[in-house]
Formats: sequence, C-alpha cells, structure tokens
Amino acid sequence: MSRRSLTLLKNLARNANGSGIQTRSVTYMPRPGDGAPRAVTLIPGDGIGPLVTNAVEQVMEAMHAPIFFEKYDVHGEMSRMPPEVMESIRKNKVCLKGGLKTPVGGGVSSLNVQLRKELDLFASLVNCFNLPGLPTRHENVDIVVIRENTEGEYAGLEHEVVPGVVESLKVITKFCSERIAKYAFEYAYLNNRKKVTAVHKANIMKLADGLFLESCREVAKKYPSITYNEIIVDNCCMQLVAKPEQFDVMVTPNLYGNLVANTAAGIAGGTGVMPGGNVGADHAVFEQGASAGNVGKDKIVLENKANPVALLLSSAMMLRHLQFPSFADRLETAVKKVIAEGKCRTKDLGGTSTTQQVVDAVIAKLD
Amino acid sequence: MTMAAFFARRLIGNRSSQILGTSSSTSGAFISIARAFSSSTTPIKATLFPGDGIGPEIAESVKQVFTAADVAIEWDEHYVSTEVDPRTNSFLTWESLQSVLDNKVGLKGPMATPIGKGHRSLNLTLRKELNLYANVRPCYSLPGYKTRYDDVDLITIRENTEGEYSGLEHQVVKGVVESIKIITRKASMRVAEYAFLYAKTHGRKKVSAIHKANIMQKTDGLFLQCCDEVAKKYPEIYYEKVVIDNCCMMLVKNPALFDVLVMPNLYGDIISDLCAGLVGGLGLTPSCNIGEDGIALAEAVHGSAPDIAGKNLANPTALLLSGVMMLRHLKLNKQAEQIHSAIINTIAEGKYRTADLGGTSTTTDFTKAICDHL
Repeated sequence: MSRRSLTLLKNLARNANGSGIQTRSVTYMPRPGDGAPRAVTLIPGDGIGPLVTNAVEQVMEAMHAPIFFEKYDVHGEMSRMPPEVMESIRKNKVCLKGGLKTPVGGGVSSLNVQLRKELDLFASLVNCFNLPGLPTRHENVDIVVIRENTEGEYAGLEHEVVPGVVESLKVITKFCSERIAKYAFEYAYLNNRKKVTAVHKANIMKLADGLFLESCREVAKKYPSITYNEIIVDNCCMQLVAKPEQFDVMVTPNLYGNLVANTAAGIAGGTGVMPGGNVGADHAVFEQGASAGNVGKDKIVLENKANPVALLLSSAMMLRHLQFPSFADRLETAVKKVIAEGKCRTKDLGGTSTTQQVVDAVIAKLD
Repeated sequence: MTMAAFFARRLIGNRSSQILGTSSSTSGAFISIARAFSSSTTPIKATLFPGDGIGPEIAESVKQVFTAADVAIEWDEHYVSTEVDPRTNSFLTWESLQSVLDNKVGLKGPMATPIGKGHRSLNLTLRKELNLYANVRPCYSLPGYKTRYDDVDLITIRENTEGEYSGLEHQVVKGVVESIKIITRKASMRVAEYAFLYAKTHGRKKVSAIHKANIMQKTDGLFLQCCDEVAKKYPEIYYEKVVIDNCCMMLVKNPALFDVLVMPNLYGDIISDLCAGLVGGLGLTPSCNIGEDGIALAEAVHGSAPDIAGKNLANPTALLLSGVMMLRHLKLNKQAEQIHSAIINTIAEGKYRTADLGGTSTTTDFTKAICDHL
C-alpha cells in the first residue's frame, strides 16, 4: 500500500510542479469535410507586422494546420484599402493582420478604422490575462474588454468652425450600443463569464453615454445569471491599477475601450502578449489585442526583436473561430509553456531573444 | 495718517508694476499683489471652503498645522448654503465667489453636490465663474506607503474648460445622440503655456503632450500645434508627444518614464485619476486649479465620505498636501517645504496612520504627529 501511495504522491507532485498547464483530450465531432484547408487573408502590415505574421505562418506550417494564407501587401500610407484585399476578406470571411501605421495628423484617415467600418466589425475584443511564469505587478488578472468599434468618438466628423476653434462630433446610436451590449453578454454567456461591467462617463456626457448605458441595462435584463454593474471611466482606470481582479468582462464605447484595453494589457504583461480581434456579423479580423505600439519602434524591427506571442495567441483564437479547437489548444499550450519556462523571451518581457528564437522554441514545444 | 496711506498707495503702485512688469503676463499671475508687502505680521487672506462630510474636520487639521508652522495666512471661511443663490444659480453664494476673486487663493474641501434640478453643480460653478483653466495634480510615491509602484513622480496638467466636457449634447433623431467636443486655440495655448512655465519654475525636465491626433486629426491636432509652438519657446525642456493609448500602457508598466503631462480635458480626467491610483488613491492626492489673473484654488479631490463624517477618522493628507501646493503658489516655499517634509516623515514613520492607510490613528492624532514633526 505504501508503494501505491508513493506513486500517487509522485503524480501529485508532478502535477503540482508542472507548468500548471494541463492538456486535455478533445472530443470534438467534426462534420465530414471540415478538415479541408480554409483560406485566410493575411495582411503583414507595417513595422513589426511582417515579422510577427511570418512567425504565425511558420508555426501554422509546423502544425500542419488546415489553413492557407492569401497574403496581401498593405501599408498605412495608402489612402484606401485596395479593393482586391477587401474582395479576399469578403470571400474568406477571416483575416489575420499585423498593424497598419497611421500617420499622425497627416490627413489620412486610419486604415485600421476604415477596415473596421467597411466590414462593419463592430466588436473589438482584447483578452488581458496573467501568463503563468511572467512576473507582473498585478496578479489574478483575467479581463476581456469588449469595445464598440464603429462609432463614438471615432466617427471622424470634425470641422473648423472659425480659425482657432475646432469641433469634433461624438455619435452614439441606440442601434450600435444595443448590438455591442448583446455581443458582450452573449460572449460572457458562451464563455462562462460571471460579470459584465459597463464603462461610461454618463455623469458628464448625460445623453450620449446615458444612451449607451440604457442599452446595456436592457440587455442585462435578458441575462439574469450574469452580474451587471457600471463604473465611471476615471474610477475604472484607478481600480484597474489598484484591484484588477474585480473585473471580468467589460463593455465600453469606442474611446474608453481603447484606453481601458491598453491599461488592462499593460498591467497584465504588455501589449506584446495580449491576443484580440475584431468581429462583425459576417467577418472577423484577428490582430494584436491592444493597439498601443502596434507597429513597434524601428529599432525593434531592425533587430528582429518583436514579440510574436500576441499574434500567435490571436491566431489560436482564429483557429477556434474557424472550428479547429485542437490546433488552437496545441498552439496555446506551446506558447504558454515557452513563456512559463522563461528562457526564451523578447525584450518587452525582459529577455533578449529574437523573434525567430521564440518561434523556434514554440515549434519545438508543439506536441 | 492720510499721508502714510498716500505713500503706501504709491509704494504699492510702483512695486506692483515692477513685479508685474518684469515677467510675462502669465508668470506675473503667480505673484499676488498682497505678497508685495506681506511680512510675518501681515497675513495673507485666503478663502477656505471646508465642504461637507469630513470636510470640516480635515479643514481644522489644515488650520492647526498651518498655525503650528507659523504660516501667516488668515482664513476666510465660507460654507455651501442650503438654498440656491439666484445670483450664482447654485448653492455657492455670491459672497463666496467674490471672496476667492478678491483673495486670489483658496483651499477647498470635498463638496457633495446635492441632487436636484435647476442649479449648476458646485464644481461647474466654481470653474466657470473663476475661469479655472488648468488642473494641476502632482502624483508622487509617498515613501513609507507602499503601493505596487515605487518610482512615480509626475505631474498631470489638464485643460479644464472645454474639450469633451463642453456639455453640448443633443438628440438628433430618436436613438441617435451627438456630443460635441470643442478645442480652441485660446484654451490650448493657455494650458500649454502654463504647463511649460510650471515645468520651468519647478525644475522639471520633460513635458509630454498626450493626444489622439491620429484619429481626431483636427481637434487634437490643434491642441498639439499649440503645444508645439509653446515648446519652441522653452528649448531647454525636452518635449514629446505621446498617443494616449501608448501613454496608458507606459504608465502602468513604467511610470518613471513620465515627468510633466499636459492634456485636453477628457484624457486629463482619466490619466490624472489613473496616476492617483498608482500612488495610493484619491485620499492622498493634492490638486490645484489655476485661473486667470493668478487665481489658484487648491482642492482635495476625494469625496466627502459621509459615512465617516464627524468620527475623527478622516485622512487629512490630501487637503494638507493641497494646502502645501497653495503655499508654493504664494511663493512661501520655506514653510511649504517644512510642512511637506513633516507630512512625508509622519507617513514614512508609520506610527500614526489613519484607517484608510491601514492604521488606527484618529485625525487629531495624525495632525498632532505632523505638528510635532515640524
């Protein structure tokens, strides 16, 4: 009996000491023919974009994932997205992209925003969570920020009233607020999340954010099992840096979503590791979660030290979206193991590896 | 007697023009005329709004500490009345506002805006009537009070009058609402000038302008333009422009990267509260509103905490530090430094701490400890 208990103890110790990542067997019953390779549009983009999308390509190749990429060259200085790219995304319905650099004050409207508006990708999602093995100041962070992506402050309606006085319109509609609220609650429901928090500034912008809140409250009534509360955006940022564990799913209008997502990404490890994407009724575009530093600094590009983790985790989300869960699980497990080990980390995580070294490590850990 | 008064008036006249003439119009605003001949015997008059809830207790604290430090200030106390004053259309009386306009400096405790219709919020009234255009909030880690961030030392300067908080909203059609954000050259130049002047007078090396001009090209673009122009006049100060989402991320990862931040209204609101969160919350953060003609109204930005009002449990640190900011504005730097060190040392020592900092002292004990440290 003592021998048995010894092996039991050994098993227990191994599981406890292990990287905390357990593989589970997947029982996913596909339809016949689901294994046929799917086409995915790939836009490398600017700055670190080509580096990190190349990383994804390599890993997909190594996994023999049923994906093939249709690559298109788009740069931030172009005034419009080329029509063939839009054609391809409409056909494939799924796209993976690196960042597109928006020139500041250059009179060119952001291509990222254009893409979202044309395909009506109304929800932007960023998952900010502590990666095991990556030390940060905050623990127990697992926040999903769902941000309205098409209207709000980013409506792009500005004009100069008289010289020296400029107006910008923030537009909030019931239609868009309702659909983002519905998406947020549906996401929480389908992913077993317990709480949805609406972020607003309705004490000052009474009508605009008031309308957003109204829509959220109405949708909340339909999901009685999910806790709903509201928080003012300045208090929210303060709580994020003090007690981030209180937040679960957050739904926000456009601008606050940008700030909250980047703050949450910062406290959980940085924008180099947070996955995310944009989704609409018909299409989905996956990219690095939080938008800060999306194209990175030139030095990082030259030295090939960009962090591919964010885009790798986003491509795992994409694989799940395409209904290839076991490939997604394998990819995520491998990435998390590499981070947990701590030997292969890029500069933003405190290490010295290059992008290629991280990719090689991930491929080596794929089972 | 009349001869003496006549000479005194001539003296003021000469010295005031001397003082105001040697500096630019905005820096002249720093020096109030009362300073011109204040000595340790002639106190400076300052308005005090104790406020509601814990307000009166912490105001009492401030008065005690200032008396113990020999600060020659005569407090002109005003309370929020219980009915709306028709001249100001709010609960603040006309006399209170006049007092601030005359004294040019003030200290304000937390005020709870009564809920109701037909009157303006108290903060809005103060802001509009006194033309308070810049909100300055220094955020620095308090040695001895440990938070997750130890090396924070930055100042946020926020434009306080326009931007997204112009309050201009309307419903276009049912279900569609527009809110207008206004940026003007005048307001942006004003706050940019103040920010660079503040950086210079306080020995700060870097000013960062926070914006979202890649998306809001004309509005934030105008704000940036004004900052660019002012930056050229201060070549010794390093000037950079940071997009707001980058800024948020950098602040939570490495707040030591920032020094002075200048921003329009909405971003300022969010970033200044974020920074307050980094150092320990609103209970420890001072702030000061700057208005035209050199008006400075220092205030504690926390709430009135009605649940602990009157129980001698409140933490007076925020109001005390705001008082220190007020003293620095009045150029009483020696005493400001004295009181500031006393507060820092008391908190660092850890023996006397109020409940919100994890201790068990009462307000009066904490105040006495500070007076002892002077």
